[in-house]
Amino acid sequence: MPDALRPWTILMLSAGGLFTGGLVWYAWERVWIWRRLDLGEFAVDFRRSVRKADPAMPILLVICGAAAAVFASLADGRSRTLALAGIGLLAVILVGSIVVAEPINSQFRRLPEGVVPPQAERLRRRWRRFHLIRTGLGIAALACLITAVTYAGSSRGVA
Amino acid sequence: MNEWWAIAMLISGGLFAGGVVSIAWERVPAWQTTTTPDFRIGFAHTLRRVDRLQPALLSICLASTIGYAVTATGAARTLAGFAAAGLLLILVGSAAWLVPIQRTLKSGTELPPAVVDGLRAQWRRGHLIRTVVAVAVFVLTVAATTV
Repeated sequence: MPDALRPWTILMLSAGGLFTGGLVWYAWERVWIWRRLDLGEFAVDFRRSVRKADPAMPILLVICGAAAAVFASLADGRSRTLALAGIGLLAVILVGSIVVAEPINSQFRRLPEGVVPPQAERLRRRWRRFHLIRTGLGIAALACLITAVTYAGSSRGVA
Repeated sequence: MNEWWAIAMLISGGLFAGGVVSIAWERVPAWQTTTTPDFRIGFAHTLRRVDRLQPALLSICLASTIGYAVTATGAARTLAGFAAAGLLLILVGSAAWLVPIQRTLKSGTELPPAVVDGLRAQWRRGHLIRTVVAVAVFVLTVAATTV
């Protein structure tokens, strides 16, 4: 792999791996547990969870996306194409999170702890569905970025 | 062949490291503030889910890192070797130290609150160490694919 790509690769995959691992953990663990809680318990736990995850997950997403953009600008051939596909998927996750998930998160966050927002069951269902889609897109984005790195490391990455 | 080991190693390693970081970042602080009985219930629920996924990801990552180290040469092999040693350390450390604590906390047996709090603090310490090692190992595996 060219020396110029190395730091961006490490940054892109480290942030991307932790971000996707976080998405999968939420989908596998929290979403499953939240389905089984009554709405009062769910509102408390969801609000606390969102408060912890909100600064960390978007930061990891942006670091991964920015490093991937530099990687794509320095790479060529299939490596660049795959990196651009990964960036596209990350952009869909970012925009989808702002448009779909954030309004739901803020409905729970702006209320005092223990207060259940109106139509909480519908919000829970919508958030779960969106998060599962986001998780699938995150895994696909990570796979694209990892494959881009393996192409950059071999002569096949050259156009 | 080497590329396939790299892809399996990085995907499973990223998901494993992201999982342990999420527990350290989100669950551990939440468990700190709950009462002892609520902690035991929440801990058991989390274990029920995580105990299926995390060991599977760790095993896939360990096997593919060994596969990558065997098929690589030079610095890539050395870095992957260190990463495999780190993953083995997590596996053995988890089995020897954390799994017995988990079994005790998950069991329905009555335990004095002081004992539960002691075990909770011990598990937290062990998990935070595991998290640091997992992130370091993941960065090593990424570095191994870039040399």
